Amino acid sequence: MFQHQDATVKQFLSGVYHTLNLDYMKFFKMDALSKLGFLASEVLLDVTNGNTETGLFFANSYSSLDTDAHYQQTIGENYFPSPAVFVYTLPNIVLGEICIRHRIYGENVFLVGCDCQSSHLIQYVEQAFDDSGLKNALVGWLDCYEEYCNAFVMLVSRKDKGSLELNESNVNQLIIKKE
Amino acid sequence: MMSNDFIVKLKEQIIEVLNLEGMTPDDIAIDAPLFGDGLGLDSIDALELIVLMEKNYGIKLQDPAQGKEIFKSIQTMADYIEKNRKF
Repeated sequence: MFQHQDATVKQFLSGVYHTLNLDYMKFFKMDALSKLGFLASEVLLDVTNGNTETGLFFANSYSSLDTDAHYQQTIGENYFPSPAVFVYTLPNIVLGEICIRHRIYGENVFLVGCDCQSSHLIQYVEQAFDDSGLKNALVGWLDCYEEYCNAFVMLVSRKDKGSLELNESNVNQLIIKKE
Repeated sequence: MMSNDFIVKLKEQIIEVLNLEGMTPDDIAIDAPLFGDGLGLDSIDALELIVLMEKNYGIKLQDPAQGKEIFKSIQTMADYIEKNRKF
């Protein structure tokens, strides 16, 4: 969807933000993982007035390692750990950022695994649709580490008849197409 | 009398540590509130300002309640730094 040749991850994320004409100053305080998730969700979700019917189901392999390393670096610099970096030393913070932006109050989960195992995410989504009043789920894979970043995000709806069925084969095909 | 250079430097340091992208020192009024309606900073930003004062000026804030007065504006912050800086 977005291409930026020869850009660093930081430049790329900032470039997408400006391309989307966003006006959300808190974006610049986020770590790379949160920026990536924020931008991906921005493409798929509208800003709502309070939404209890949408849940978030995400996973990655690097957890918050990129920010953890950055935080460790701030500790090493004459021991001045940065509070603003510290608050992003968990991978699920990105979910909070998306929920704040889109006023989503539905359940959310962030899994950490070796690779993109769509089956786990699908199970969680199906369970949530069965057990709660969720009607939509933002589902995806978000990874950031140093100059590597990767995002695959999809919006799953309970109601969308005629859309692609939520199953492992379809999701994996979408991931392969994207790659 | 506080120098204008110091005020500009302090504004630049704040812009850098708080990632206020797209802002320049001229965008921050010296007497505008830093929190609330002014720059719209939050509690994490307040912690970053405390770290900024310790790292750059050797000032350790002993009583966090003081922060409310010190961080009212760039002017109050600069006044406090001028009076209490160790380097």
